[in-house]
Amino acid sequence: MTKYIIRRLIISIPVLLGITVIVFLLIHFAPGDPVMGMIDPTQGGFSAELIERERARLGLDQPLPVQYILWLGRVLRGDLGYSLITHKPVAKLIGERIWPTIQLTMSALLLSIIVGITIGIISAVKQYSWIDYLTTLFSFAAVSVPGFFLALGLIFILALKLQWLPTSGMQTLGQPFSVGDRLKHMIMPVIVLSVSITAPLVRYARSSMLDVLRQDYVNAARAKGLREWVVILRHALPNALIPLVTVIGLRLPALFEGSVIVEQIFHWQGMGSLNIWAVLNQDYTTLMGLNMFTAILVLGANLLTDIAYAIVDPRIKYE
Amino acid sequence: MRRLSYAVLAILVIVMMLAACAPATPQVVEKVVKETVVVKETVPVKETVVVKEVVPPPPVPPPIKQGGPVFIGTGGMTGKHFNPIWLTSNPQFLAFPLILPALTWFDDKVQPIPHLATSIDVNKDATEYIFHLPENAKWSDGTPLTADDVVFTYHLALHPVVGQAVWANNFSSVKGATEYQKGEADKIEGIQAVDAHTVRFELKQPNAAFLFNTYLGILPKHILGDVKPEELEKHPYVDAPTVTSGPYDFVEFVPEQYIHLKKKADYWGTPATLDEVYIKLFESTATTLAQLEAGEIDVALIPPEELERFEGLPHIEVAKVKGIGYYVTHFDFRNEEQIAQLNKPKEQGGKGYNITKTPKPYLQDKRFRQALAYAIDTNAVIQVVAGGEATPIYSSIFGPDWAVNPNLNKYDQDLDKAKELMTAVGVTFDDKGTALWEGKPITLVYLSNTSEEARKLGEVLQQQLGKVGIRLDIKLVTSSAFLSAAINGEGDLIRNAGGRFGADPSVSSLYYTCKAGWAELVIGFCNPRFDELMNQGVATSDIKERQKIYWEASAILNEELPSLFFYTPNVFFGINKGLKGLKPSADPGYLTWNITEWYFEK
Repeated sequence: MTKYIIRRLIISIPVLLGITVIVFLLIHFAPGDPVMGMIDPTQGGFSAELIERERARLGLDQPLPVQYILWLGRVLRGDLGYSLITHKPVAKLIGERIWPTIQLTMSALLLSIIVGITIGIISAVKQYSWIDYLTTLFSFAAVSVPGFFLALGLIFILALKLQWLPTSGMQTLGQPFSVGDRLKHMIMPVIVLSVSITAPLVRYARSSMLDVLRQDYVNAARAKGLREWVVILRHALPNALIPLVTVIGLRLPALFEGSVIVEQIFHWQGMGSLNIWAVLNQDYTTLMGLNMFTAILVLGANLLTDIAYAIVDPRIKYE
Repeated sequence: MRRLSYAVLAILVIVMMLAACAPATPQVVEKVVKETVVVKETVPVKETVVVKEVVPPPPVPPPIKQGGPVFIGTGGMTGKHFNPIWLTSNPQFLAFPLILPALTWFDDKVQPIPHLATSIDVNKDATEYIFHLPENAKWSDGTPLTADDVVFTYHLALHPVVGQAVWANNFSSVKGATEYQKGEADKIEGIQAVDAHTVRFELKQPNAAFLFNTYLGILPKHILGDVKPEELEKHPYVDAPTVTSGPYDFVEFVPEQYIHLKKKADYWGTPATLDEVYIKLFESTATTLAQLEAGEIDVALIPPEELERFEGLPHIEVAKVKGIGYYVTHFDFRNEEQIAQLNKPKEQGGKGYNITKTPKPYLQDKRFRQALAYAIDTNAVIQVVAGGEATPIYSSIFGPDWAVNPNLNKYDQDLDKAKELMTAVGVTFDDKGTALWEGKPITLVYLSNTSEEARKLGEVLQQQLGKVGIRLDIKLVTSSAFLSAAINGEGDLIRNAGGRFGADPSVSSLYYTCKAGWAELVIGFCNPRFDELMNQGVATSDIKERQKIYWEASAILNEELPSLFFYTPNVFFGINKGLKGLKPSADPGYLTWNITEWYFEK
């Protein structure tokens, strides 16, 4: 197992390098550059000299390979560089934004796991009942509705019409911080984020449970005369959960991806809104830092999923 | 059971597809009407009950605010630091006059007014400006605010290491400022403290518009005076100005979230009424407007297309102000020589660009540009793009009132005149009315960023230019890619909006003089007489003389048409009805100019 982990970690290095090269090229080949983005063309007060000076100041007048090697050199020394727009250290920017995003994504993940697995199991146990059909309908609807549409719909109904929740933001300004207030601000973004993961989880949990319920050991448990709920909870459920470990692990990066839109709409100051801001301003260094972070997250999530899989199912051995 | 479920699902899908595809034929409508009539006739009571059930309870509007902090909604902050030296975006413009006042600021008409200064003396030639400071002015730590602080701040803003381009530009007319900024002098000769409460600015050439530049917030010398300029950006004060001189104290700045200010307990000047101010920063207009509607913010800018929504809200009052910005499309009529000059390597005196555009010779003829102006109905543009809420303009010099030349050509839509001018340039028309240049159809490209207004403008122009046989392709790019696309020659008509033209006619020199970015890098406009007039305009203090100069300058723009001038839009603010005393500015950045007069009606 240890050997396997070390091998996977070593393989991750060239993968990560490849990702940085591709991302670096994609960002730099996109039209425009940060200097042009920084200039407000409506204000007129720019000149050829100003553009030239700013490009030189930011090192954008260097050839692309030089820029990449300089960036890589800094990263290897543990320095993600400075934002081209705000001039703050990228690591600090990410550090400030990661906690709000974790609050959202982890709450959404937890909610999805609880709701998704519960509904999926019920749906499997009551196969072809009205509950099962309703669940199927919900899953289809949840997968089909775009996140931004659901978000705007929730704001319209829950915040503007019913006035139960604040429209956006992370806290009520002018009042001291309280957990209750934060939770109130989290309800809508967490619902939007979790809906997109809950639906597939319901489907996976249902089919996994159905597979398990057809196994001989479940029949044996029933034949022993155990009550049905004991059979389901003690004998079937733990085995039905094994494949879900993979599903949940691989959903983690998707959650961070989903937070990009959700954070923007709900004015949540996390990694997602930082990402959008960096893209719109073509802040190369911040974008590279964020992409590095996401790449590490994806690779890490994959590795952890494999490890977790081996832990929950002793039959799986990595050579 | 499984078969049954498949059958149900299949039927559902078929019904949905049919419903989506079925055309609304008159037959179907007739049937529905018939059914409704039958229900009404047979079970009228039942129908009434259904109506009662469907009607939702009316939503409770957010209350009209009666007190507490004021919440101002605005866009994101782009400045490097939360400090007047790095003043670039609206949140800073809204906050700094409250905590670190400048010598002058701007009123609701965006005209300069004494701010920290109590009075300003200007000599007849407009070469000497003397600012008098209040004698009791002090910093929040009790240290007196003196002329030394002013001199120190201006030296810092122009310092070779610290200085920002905007200040170098603003104060280039001050004696010795350029030399100091280049590191050739130890101090700025033209900025001197006459005594503890008087500062004298001496200019190397007359500048009647100089007070438009002195909006630099004054910084405390006793806090930053000993900091080496190279170390300044690491000093905590540049991001958290805890020692202040305005009516409010700085409490907190949370990037991309809010700026929190609190009323000073012992302010030396006229104290403010509101105890606390929050400036909330939003990247998304939709979020800002949702918060305004929900009563979570008290004042914010409203785009014209959202007016109807806010005019219907009981707790919001919509204030309308005539703006100072403009809406235009610049022409790109750079000729081969100009493009070659821009493409020339830097070592050879060029700019090192790689512009591959082939110039369109007809665009270089002003008669063709005038023809396009005649082809377009500006009133239709105003209706479609600005919802009718704008005033047409005929040059970029359209304010203040004294500077507006009444004799400019209004280019009222005249398609015959347009075609006549095009023919005079050498354009021909085929049987279908398509405009041809050397036998080939004329196609122009409209280039803009991706805003909704920009898209609408492109579509109106496309339709209207089609009437004179010109095809207009629309190309929309992201904001950060826009300027480089314009310089690279990806458009022939390039949309531009905003600016502060209405505040002073001298603003036009930033756009249309030979060395201005737009004129040199995009439009290819260079008119030596226009440059001369713009120089004369700022050097003349007599208003009659200035009027004469700017009338001539605007006539040049109106005749040469480096841009198609459309309109100056009205600006709208949504204000909670409880908030009183606010006089909205024509430029949203100066909204807080009279914040000490704001109060909540109890």
